Amino acid sequence: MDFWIVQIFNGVSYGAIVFLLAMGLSLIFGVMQVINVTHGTYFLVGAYVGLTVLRQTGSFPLAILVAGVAIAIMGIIIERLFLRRLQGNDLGQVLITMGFVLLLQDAILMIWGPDPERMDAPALLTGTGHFGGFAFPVYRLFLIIFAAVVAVLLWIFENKTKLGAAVRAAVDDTEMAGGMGVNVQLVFSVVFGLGAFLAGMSGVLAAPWLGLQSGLDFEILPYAFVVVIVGGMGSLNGAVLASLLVGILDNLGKILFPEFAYFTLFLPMAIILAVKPEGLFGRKL
Amino acid sequence: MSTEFVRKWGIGFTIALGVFLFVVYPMIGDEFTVIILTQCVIWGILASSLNLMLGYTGLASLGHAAYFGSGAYAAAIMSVHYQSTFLEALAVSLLVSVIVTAVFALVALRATGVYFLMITFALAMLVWGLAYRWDSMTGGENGIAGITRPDFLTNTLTFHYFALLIGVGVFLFFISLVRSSFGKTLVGIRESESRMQTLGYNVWLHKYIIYLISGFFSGLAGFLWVFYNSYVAPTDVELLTSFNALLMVSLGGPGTLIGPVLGSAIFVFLDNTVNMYTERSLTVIGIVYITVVLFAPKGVVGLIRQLIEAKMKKTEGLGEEEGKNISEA
Amino acid sequence: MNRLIVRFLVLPIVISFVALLTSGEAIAAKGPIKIGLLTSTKGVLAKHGSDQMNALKTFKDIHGEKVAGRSVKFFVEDNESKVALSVTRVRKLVTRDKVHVIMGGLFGSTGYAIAPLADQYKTPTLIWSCPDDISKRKRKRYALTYFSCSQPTQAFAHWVRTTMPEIKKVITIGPDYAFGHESTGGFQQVYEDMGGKVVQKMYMPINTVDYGPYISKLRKDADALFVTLAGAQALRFPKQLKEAGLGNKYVILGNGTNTDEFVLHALGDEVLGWITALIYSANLQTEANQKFVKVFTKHAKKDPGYYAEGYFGALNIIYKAIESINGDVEDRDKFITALKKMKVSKGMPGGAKKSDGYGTFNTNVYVRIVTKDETGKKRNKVIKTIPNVSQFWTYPPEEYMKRPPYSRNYPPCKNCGK
Repeated sequence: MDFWIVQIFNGVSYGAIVFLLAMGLSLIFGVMQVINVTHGTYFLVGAYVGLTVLRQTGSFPLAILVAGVAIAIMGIIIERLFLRRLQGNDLGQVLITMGFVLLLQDAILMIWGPDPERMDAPALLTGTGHFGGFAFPVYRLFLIIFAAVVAVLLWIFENKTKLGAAVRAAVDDTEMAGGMGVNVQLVFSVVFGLGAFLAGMSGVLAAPWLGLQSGLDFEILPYAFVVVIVGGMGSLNGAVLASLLVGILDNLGKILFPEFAYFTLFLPMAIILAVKPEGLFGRKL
Repeated sequence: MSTEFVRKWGIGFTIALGVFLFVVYPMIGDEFTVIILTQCVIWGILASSLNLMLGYTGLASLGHAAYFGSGAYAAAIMSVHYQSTFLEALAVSLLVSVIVTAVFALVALRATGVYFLMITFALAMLVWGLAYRWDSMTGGENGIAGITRPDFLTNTLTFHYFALLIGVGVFLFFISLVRSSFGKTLVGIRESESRMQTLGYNVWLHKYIIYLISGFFSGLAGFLWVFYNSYVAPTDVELLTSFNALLMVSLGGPGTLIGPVLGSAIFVFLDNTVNMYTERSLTVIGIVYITVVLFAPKGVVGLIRQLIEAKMKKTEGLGEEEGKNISEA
Repeated sequence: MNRLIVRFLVLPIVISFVALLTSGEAIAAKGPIKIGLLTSTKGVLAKHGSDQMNALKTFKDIHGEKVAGRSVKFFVEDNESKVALSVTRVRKLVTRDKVHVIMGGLFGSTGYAIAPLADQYKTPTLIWSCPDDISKRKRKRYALTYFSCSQPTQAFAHWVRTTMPEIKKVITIGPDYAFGHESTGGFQQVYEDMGGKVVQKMYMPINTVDYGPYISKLRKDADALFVTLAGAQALRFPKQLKEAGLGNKYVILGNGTNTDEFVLHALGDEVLGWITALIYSANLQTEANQKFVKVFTKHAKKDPGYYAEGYFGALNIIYKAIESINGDVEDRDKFITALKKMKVSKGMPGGAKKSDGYGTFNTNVYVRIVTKDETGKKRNKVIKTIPNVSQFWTYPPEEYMKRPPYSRNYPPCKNCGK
C-alpha cells in the first residue's frame, strides 16, 4: 500500500508539470490548429530566463513571472510575424516551428553556454514533509498545488469571462466563431501568448526538480504531446485527466517494466487513438 | 524557346549532373566524398518514399523514422544476434517494416491533416521507446554495433554502387508509379478527397496502399543505412530524424520526383560541412527550415521552375511587343 | 525576395558543396603527424566536450605541437553527443583528413561503435570512454582504451569491504547503459566475492529526470548505497535523495563520476561525506598534477575533472609512443604495437599508466571523500591510493574473461529480495 501511495504521489507531481506545459500546447492546437513543436524549447528557455532573474534578484516568484512574460512576448512575436502567414499550412507550421527550435537551442548555447545548471527552490519550499508516516519532498507538493490553482484559474477564465468564451467558441468551431463576431485574430494572439506563458512558467517551476540542460526540451515534449492527444486538443478537462494518467503511468512503467517503460506510456495512447482519435474530451474530427 | 525544349533540356542536364556526381566522381574523388554520396543515396530513398505520401497524396507523416528504424533495427538484430545472411536480413527487414506500417497505417488513417501529423508522431514514439528501452533486443542506449557487410560489399566504392543501383531501381519504380493511373488518383486525392470520394474511388484503400509502399521503401532505406554505418542506435529513430526527412522533401520539392533526391543531397552536404566552418550549425539548419517554409514552399525544384518561367515570360513578352510594333508599322 | 533566397538557401548550398568536394588533405609523403580527436560540443555532453577542449589547450601549452622532430596537427571532430555520428566523424578523420591516430569518445557506447572501424581502417584508436569489453573479450588489434569502466569500482569494492566491514548490505543504483552496468558490475563482483551482499540493484534510463520512483523503492534495511551517476544525473540525484528524507540514512559510496570536479562545484552540501573512487582527483598533490591543474585552470577557470585528465593523459601517451618509434607513425603496425606497450609515469596528472597487454592500462585508483577546504570549496580529498590496479583486479585474466561481460543481468543479484 505504501508503495502505491508514494508512486501515485510522484506520478501526480510529474503530471503537474506536464499539465502546465501541455495545457498551453493543447490550447494552441485546439484553437489555431498549430502543432507548436517549439513548445518544449519555450519551456527550456523559460527555465534559463528564470535562472538569470533568480540569480540577479533572488526572487523565485519574480523569476516565474518574468520567464512567463518573456516567453509569452517571444511567442506572440513568432505567431504574428511567422505563423500567421501560414494559416492552413499544417506542414509549413510544423517545419517552421522546428526551425525555431534549432534557433532557440543555439541561442541558449550562446547565451548561457553548454553547462547543465541547477536551480535551488526558495528555502521555504525545500525540505521533506511528513504525513501519516510518508516522507515526501515539499517542493513536489507545491507543484501539485500550483498546478491545481492554475487549472482552476483557467477554468474560471474559460467559463466565466467573455474572452474565455471567445476562446472556447474558437476551439469548437473557428469559422463559426469568426462569423459570430469573435475577433479571431485577437483570440489567436491571446491563446498563443497564454500558451507560451504557461510553457515559460512551467520551465522555471520544473527547474529546481529537473535541472536545466540542453536536450530537456525534447525530453519533455513527447509527454506534452501525449497529453494533448489523449486528453483532446483544446480541452482543459482532458489535459488535467491526461496529465494525471501520463504522470502515473510513466512512473509505474519505469518501476514495474523498465524495459518497456516508454511503451507503457505510449501504448495506452495508441489504443485511445485507435478507438477515439479525437482524444478523451476532444471534439469530433 | 518552348516549354518542351526547356523541360527536356532541364531533365537532360539533371541526369547528366546526377551521373557525373554519383557514378563518375566516386571513381576519381576521395573516399570520404564517396561516403557522403552514399549517404545522399540512402536518404534520397527515404525522402522519396515519404514524398509519395506527402507530395503526391497530401499525407504529411511526422513519423517516418518509425518505418526506417524498424527496417534498420530488424536488419541489425538479424545480422548480429542471429548471424543471418545478407539476404535473410534484407527479407526480415522489409517484412518487419511492412508489418509495422500495416498496423500503424490502420490507426493513423483514421485522422487527417494536423491530427494525422500528431498521430504519426505518436506512433513513431512507440518505436523509439522500444529501441531505447528494450535492451535485450535493441541494445537500448548502446545501440547495435559491429554489423558486417558481406565480403563483396566491404569496399566503400562497391557499396556505393550497390546502394546507387538500388536507389535508381527504386526511383524508376516511383516514376512508373506516379505516372500510372494509380498515381494520378493519388494526386486527385491530394487535391480534394471529397471529390474523389464522390467519383467513386475507394480513397481509404488508395491511402493505405501508398502508405504501405512508402513504409516498405523506408524500411529498405533503413536496411541500407545499417550496413552503410555498421551501427544503429535510438538516435536513428528519434523525432529529429522524421523532421529531417520532412525537411528533405520540402527543401527539394514535394510532389516532384527529383525534389526529394535533391533535398536529401543538399541536406547531407549541409549536415556534413556546416560544422567545418562554424559552431552555429543549429542556427544554420534552423534558418534553412524557416527559409524553405517562407520563401520556397515548393522547394528548390519549385524555385528553379519559377525562375525559368519568369525568364521565359520576359522573353515571350518582348517578342509580343515587337510583333505589335511590326504589325503597326 | 529572390536575393534573400539566394543568400539564405542557394549560397550556403553551393558553398558547402564546393567545400566538401575540395577540402581533402593532400597525401604528403611525410608532412605533419596528424592526430584525430573526437569530442562533443553540443548536446548532453557539451560540457564534457568543453573540458576536453580545455585539456587539449593545456596539453598544447605544456607539450607543444611537435614531437620526434615532426610537427603535429590536430583534427577535432564533434559528434554532437550522438554515438551514430561518431562513426561518420571517424570515417571523415580517416578518409579525408588521413589522420595517423584517433583519440576520444565520451559515451561508453561510442567505444563499441568505433572500435571495429579501428581495425577496418588500420588506424590506431585510443578510446577514452571505457567500453569494458574492448580490452577484454572483444579486443581489436588497433583499438585500445584508456581505462576500463569496472576498473576503479572493482578496486573500490575491495577497499570498502576491508576498511568498512560494518557495511553489510549494499543497494546499487545506476544508469541503464554500458557504463552503469560495468561500474555496478565491477563493484558487485568483487564485493560479493569477498563476502559482502548486494541486496538490491536498480537501473534507471539515462535521461531520467525524476528519481522519485526509484528512491521510493530503496530497501530500508540496507546500510549503504553504491551509486553510479554521470553528467546531469549527478546534479539531480543527490538533491532528490535528500528531499525524500534519505540524505543521512545510508552511507553513500559510489563511482567517482558522481562527484567529479566537473559537477562538484554545482553540487549542494548534501554530497559532503560521499566516498567515491576514480582514476583521478584534482586534489592530488603530485608535481605533475599541480602543474596540470595550474595551466588548466588558466584556460577553463575551473578545476579539471577526469574527462580533462583523461584527454591530457591519453595525448601524453600518444606523444610518448610516437617518440618511442622515432616519429614513424606511417608504419601503422609499429605504431599500434608501441601504443600497446607504453608505460608512462612522468607528466601524468592521474599517476602512472602501464599497458597491461590486453588493450588498456594499469592505473592508480584513488579513494576520495568529499570535504570542504578552508575557503569553503568542495574537494575530492584522497584518502587512499590503490596503485597499479589492473582491469581484471586480482583475478587471472583468462578466468575473468570466461565469465560473461558485466551487463544489466550480470552479475545476477543472488541476494535480492532476501
